Amino acid sequence: MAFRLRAAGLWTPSLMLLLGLLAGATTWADDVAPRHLRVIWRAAPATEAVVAWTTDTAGTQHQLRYKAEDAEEWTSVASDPALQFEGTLADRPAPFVQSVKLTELQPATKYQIVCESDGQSSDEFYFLTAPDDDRPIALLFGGDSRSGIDARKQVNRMMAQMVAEQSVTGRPEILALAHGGDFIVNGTNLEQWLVWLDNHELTTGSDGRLLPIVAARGNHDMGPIFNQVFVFPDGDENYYALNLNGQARLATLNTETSTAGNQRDWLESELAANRWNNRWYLCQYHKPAFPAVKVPSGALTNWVPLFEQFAIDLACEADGHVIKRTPPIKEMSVNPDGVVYIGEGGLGVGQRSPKTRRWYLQDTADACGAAHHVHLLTFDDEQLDCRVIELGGEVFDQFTLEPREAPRTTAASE
Amino acid sequence: MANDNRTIDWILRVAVALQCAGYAWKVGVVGDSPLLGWLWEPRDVGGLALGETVGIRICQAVAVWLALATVSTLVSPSRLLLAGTLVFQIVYAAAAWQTHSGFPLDVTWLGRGPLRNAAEALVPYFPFASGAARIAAPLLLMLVHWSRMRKLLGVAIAPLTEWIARIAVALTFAAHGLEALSHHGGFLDMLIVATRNVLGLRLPEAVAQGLLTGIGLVDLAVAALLLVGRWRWVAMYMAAWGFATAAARLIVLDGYIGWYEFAVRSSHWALPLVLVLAWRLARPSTQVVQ
Repeated sequence: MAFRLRAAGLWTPSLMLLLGLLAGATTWADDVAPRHLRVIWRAAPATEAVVAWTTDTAGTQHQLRYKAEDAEEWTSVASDPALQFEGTLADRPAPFVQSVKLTELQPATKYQIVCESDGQSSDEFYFLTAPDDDRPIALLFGGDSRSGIDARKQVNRMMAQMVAEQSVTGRPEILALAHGGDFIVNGTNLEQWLVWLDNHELTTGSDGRLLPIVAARGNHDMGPIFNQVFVFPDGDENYYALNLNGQARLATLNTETSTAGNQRDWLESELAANRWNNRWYLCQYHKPAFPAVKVPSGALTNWVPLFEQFAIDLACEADGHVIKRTPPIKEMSVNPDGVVYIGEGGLGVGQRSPKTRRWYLQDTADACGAAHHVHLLTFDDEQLDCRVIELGGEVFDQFTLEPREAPRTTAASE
Repeated sequence: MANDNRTIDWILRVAVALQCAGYAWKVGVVGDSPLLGWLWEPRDVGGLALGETVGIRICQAVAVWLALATVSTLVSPSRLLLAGTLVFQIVYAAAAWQTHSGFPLDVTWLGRGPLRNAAEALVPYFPFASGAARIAAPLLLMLVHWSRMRKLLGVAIAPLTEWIARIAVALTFAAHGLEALSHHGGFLDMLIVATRNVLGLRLPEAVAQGLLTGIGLVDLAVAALLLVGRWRWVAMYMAAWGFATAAARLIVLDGYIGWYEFAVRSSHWALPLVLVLAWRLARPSTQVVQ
């Protein structure tokens, strides 16, 4: 995405940025021109969003201007204090993260935004807030963009196309990308993060539509830069939940910290409080409980019993570099009342061969494979439709789930 | 070989055999290892880009080698197989280094400056430190099993052998101590799940973190003590702790994973135990010099 810088006399750096992008290099202009615009969802995307961007120098004044599409007035919000990326670069100082947390937004509304840093403005972009009602929505899920940069860029372009086509054809809006982790190879390598941020710009539509991201930490995303890129508080453990609409909730878990301690307690409380307030409940995390290639993570011991107790609909996993779908699993056997596990990551990383002789993949061997892909999840009041979209647009796998019935409480049954 | 020293020889043989068997299963059957990752990952992310099929075949060949080494080490140790095992352990650590599979030690607390830059440059080599005892075990067995020096000197193990063992164990304990001080999520889970499985109690994460801090400090302390003096109680503690932490895998992980995760850590208790026995036997013995 090339920025049209509005400040007079800045066409030269703009051209440099463009040339840099064409050369496939990480851009650096030694100024405060906003780049890497991203919308991050962490809590209540119907009314809140974090907007972040990168500047090469600290600058002095940064703000976000935004307005709802039908509003006339723009609102300006000063950014939080600039935060210099941890890590080092060979040829220049580490750039800075600018961020603004927007609150009190209107649900299901198009918000136009412009980032400004010391008088230099980004292009105008927009994003949609999540609805708070029960309208059908869609979500992209994928993981493992850590290698295969060319494929990563192609998948990003494909996701931007999918968002646009879904919108134009009147199908449920794709609201966000849930990324299951392993964004880059070495989470302490700032250069790799900056390349990822460059590449993430390709998910932006030609009309300026930003694709919000819901980020899970992978084992390669070690270190403090992950929290800076996605504007988590310093030291945050990256497990949280949010509503995608009034009836679909997504919990993001972190397999790279204790899975048995506070996180498990939090998950139990979260599911107890919110599972049956929502028709659909999903969890995403990096290392699989039912892996197609590797060995099970702590998720199997510590989270799966809760998934089964609260009958979540879908668990979205990454890390294995394959396409995977299990049959419904409960108490370590195939059971129609169980939980379906999908994913394993194909946002760029080289693909492997799924081990379909494992007991939990034998029935769904045809739904497992090896190709760069993203999952398109569409929620309505009758079904959850899941499609695996390969690079190129073909549907590799498609299945649907029906809503579960909430268990009747003792009081209700009396 | 004197009868007293046969014990040391057999401890190393059992430990190396267990280690070989564990890695043979992990690399060849389970197929989830940094080695495979290194072989098949593309070059731009540190891999050798050999492709998954070639990578798996190489891993299976390595597993066959390790299986042969397992049997041979117990029946009749072979220099060739043990040397191959030593090379495997070094390559395995190198693979973890190249694929960033080692523990991501946090050094941001060092601030911004040359100290942190130096620490960040060292962190990728962490697998060599945490795996030092595993790397050293086959080498030590070769040095002990075919040692002429110990017979000549009348000692349980030759000075060079002893120092290799001391440095390897110290590095392993120091590396694991740093991981414990960083409150490694896997270590926290091990404490919490082991407490739940063995005692039926729920260990709060805050308590587990406190325990890990203590464990980490003790690990660092005993690592330092092992290098500065020949205290048998230090080596004895390390042998006991090395065994306990390896055996914890049997309790916490599913059996088909737990057994090989225990086996590959055999050197963590065997090498300190060798030092305990060596220092017990470290006096001139007429039997030895005969």
